[in-house]
Amino acid sequence: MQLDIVVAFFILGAVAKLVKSDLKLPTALYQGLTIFLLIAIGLKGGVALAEHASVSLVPQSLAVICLGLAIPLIAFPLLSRIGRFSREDAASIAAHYGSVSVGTYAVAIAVLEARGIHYEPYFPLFVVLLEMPAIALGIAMARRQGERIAWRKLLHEMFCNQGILLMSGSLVIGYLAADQTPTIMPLFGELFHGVLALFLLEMGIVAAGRVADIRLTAPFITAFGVIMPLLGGLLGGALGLQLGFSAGGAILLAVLGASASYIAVPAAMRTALPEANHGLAIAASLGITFPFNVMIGIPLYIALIDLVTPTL
Amino acid sequence: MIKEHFYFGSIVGVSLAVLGSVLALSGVFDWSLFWVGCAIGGLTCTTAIGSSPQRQLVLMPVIEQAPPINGTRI
Repeated sequence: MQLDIVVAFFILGAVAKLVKSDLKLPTALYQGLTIFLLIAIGLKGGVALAEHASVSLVPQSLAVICLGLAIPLIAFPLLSRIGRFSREDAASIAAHYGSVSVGTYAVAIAVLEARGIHYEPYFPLFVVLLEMPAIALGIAMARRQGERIAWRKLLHEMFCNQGILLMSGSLVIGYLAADQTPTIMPLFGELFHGVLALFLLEMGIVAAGRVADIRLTAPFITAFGVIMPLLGGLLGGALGLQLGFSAGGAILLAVLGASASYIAVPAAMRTALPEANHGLAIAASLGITFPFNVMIGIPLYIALIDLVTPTL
Repeated sequence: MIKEHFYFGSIVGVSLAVLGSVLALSGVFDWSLFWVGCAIGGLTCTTAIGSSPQRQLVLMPVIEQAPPINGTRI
């Protein structure tokens, strides 16, 4: 197994937690790293969007939104019927899996660039688009007839949370000021991989700490946390190939389908479904699915798409 | 342990182990997916054994025979 250098830092963080090391990144630094990654990905996507904007992006965007709606629709019956979770818990976890993880996307970008695999550079647009539909669908699935929703507060959480705001804002800035971005790219471009390594070190510590939270439902949640990214990845990869993306683009869509949110959705779900067990959803997405995608999922999606389109 | 959790964990574990071994033997991917499948199957079985009524029946007499702590039985 060829281990990517940034992924190695994730494993280092997890090992540090498991051996009870006192290694800890300051919270402010972790928040700073997250902000950096969101801006870097958004800016890169905005610049690419300015170069490649065309009408063909509209049907592609609509298809990507449909992918974001299809995944929670698969996850919800699994969680409520087989998992026997309450309606609110099942809807909350399904929404996490329908949305995307920017961290997983960043790792996928790093791996593709390290292997020299070409991909459509405007993919951050799809990352932004995939964040929201699952949240709305999750809330709709959790609510019973006649229940009222605080839409104003919820829409604020959906559109103004840190992840969406920074990524869509940077995307627009990159699009409008594409010719000026070389002045700030030494920071947001060249330092990307180093910052991602630091981010993954912290994620390794956090993910290893979350594993203990799923003790009661461990067999089901572990199996769910592994099978859902495989189903989502399969759907995303197949859709990417159908939409005519390059092999790298299909891999990225597979990664987006496979990943589960742990930043934007938890914030929105806490507002919309305060009665749901949010710890369980974050533990599954961060403790099981994120490590699985980073260490096994991404190389697997690359291998499978290489098998279908041997152009890599 | 809920019956459905056991079935789901077992099916996913076995399926991944089979898929992982097929992919590894055909040279498409390494053995990591196979080991993930084995781990899920193993976790499901150990949890099921740990929470089975038989195991609780074995443990109960041991707990009942334990000496009182500060005059209180467990």
